[in-house]
Amino acid sequence: MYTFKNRSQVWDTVGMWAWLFHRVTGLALVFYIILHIVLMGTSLLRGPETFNSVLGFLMGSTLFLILDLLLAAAVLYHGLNGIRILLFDIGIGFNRQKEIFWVLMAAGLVIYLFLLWRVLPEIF
Amino acid sequence: MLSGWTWLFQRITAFFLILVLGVHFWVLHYQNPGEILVYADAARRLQTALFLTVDSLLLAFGLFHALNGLHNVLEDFNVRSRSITAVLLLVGAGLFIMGIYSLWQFV
Amino acid sequence: MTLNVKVFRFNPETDKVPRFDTFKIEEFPNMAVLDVVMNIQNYHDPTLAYRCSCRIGMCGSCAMYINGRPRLACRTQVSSLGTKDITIMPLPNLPIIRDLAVDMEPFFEKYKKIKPYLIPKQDLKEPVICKPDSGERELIDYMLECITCGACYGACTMVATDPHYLGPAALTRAYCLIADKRDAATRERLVIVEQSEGVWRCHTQFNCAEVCPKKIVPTQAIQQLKKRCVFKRLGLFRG
Repeated sequence: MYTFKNRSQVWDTVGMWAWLFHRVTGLALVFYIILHIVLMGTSLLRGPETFNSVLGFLMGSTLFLILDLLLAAAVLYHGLNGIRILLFDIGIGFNRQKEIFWVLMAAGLVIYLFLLWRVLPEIF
Repeated sequence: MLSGWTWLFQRITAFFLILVLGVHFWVLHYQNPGEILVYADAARRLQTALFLTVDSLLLAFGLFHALNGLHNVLEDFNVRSRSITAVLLLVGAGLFIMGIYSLWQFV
Repeated sequence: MTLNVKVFRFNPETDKVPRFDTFKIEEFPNMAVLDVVMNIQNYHDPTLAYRCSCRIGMCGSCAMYINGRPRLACRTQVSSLGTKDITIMPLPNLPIIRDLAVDMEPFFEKYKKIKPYLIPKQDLKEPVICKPDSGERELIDYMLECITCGACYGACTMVATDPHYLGPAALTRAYCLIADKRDAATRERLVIVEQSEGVWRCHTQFNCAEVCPKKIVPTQAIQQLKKRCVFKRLGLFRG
């Protein structure tokens, strides 16, 4: 006897993708925060010269600025969708969850364009 | 069974991080774009009680939120074991001690 | 109009892997997906296995995965799918008995865990009064519409990844009883739903709410349970 389950999921809903992106950005940020704490902690402990050369090397590179923009996008998404989740937790928005999502994403887009406007001149 | 407590704390830290991480990002990345962070500035900031407190809380809450989030993902995949929880706790404690030690150099 | 219907076929006794059979079916007015399945069995392939009973959306037997979503076959009009290509698969996350018929046992095992029946308070001298305008049964009353079809269970990613997760239907039932003033087993049920495999696995995806044929939002029932679990932990829960 062979047992089998249909493993198909529901892919055409806003909530599914909101959750999936929340999870992906969340996992990426877990690795970032560990890296960030180790790097900043060791650089601070090693004194001014190491700190300045490490930070100078990182923050002076274009690649870093681009990665930093990716980081900002992940944090922005995770935070804004986090607001949506916190609203559910206090009992708000169950019948408006998609609208809340799109409003927050619109706000995120505006904030992100503002960040791009500040940082892009430094890259080019 | 800690599920309820960790859930509540995940929300509290989330609320704090939404507020404070926004400021953290603005001050250190976007207020003066292109400016490179130097040791003297970091040291000066960390000598003020406000920055030191906020940074310490950011360290503690950020670590909890991240590692508990990871723990949640593992539970979602039916990975439940005391040793995994213990490893995450140890990693969190280690990073917290290192972070606090480096932040409090300037007091 | 002709419908192109792809149907999932699997017989655990003889097949190692499932396959899809394709059928050309003539569409008629007001045709439901269940009519399509019956048509196939009546006129094309009598060996097709599926489950149905009432045909009017009240028995909860005919939930299937139709064009990317769990739906009640009898309440899904072919015209509402917006395409002539229909793919019918068994309800996800449950073991397949044959073809489109799944074994609902794991679903009802979890349902039983939360004790899905009222355990009345014994010490009440007077009948319980629920004023219609108090709103205390606002959520309960519409959530009692649940027909345990399992569509939410098949739509939930958390059920898919964690086989022990109680799932939306059982938790919604638990909420209906826990929030009921007449219920005596409130704390007992809370102890069951506050475990790791209970309410904490819900990450507000809303897939359950999207597919529920009765328009129930289990996410909200689960949120209400989380709130009570936290209050219980803080020693603030009365009831």
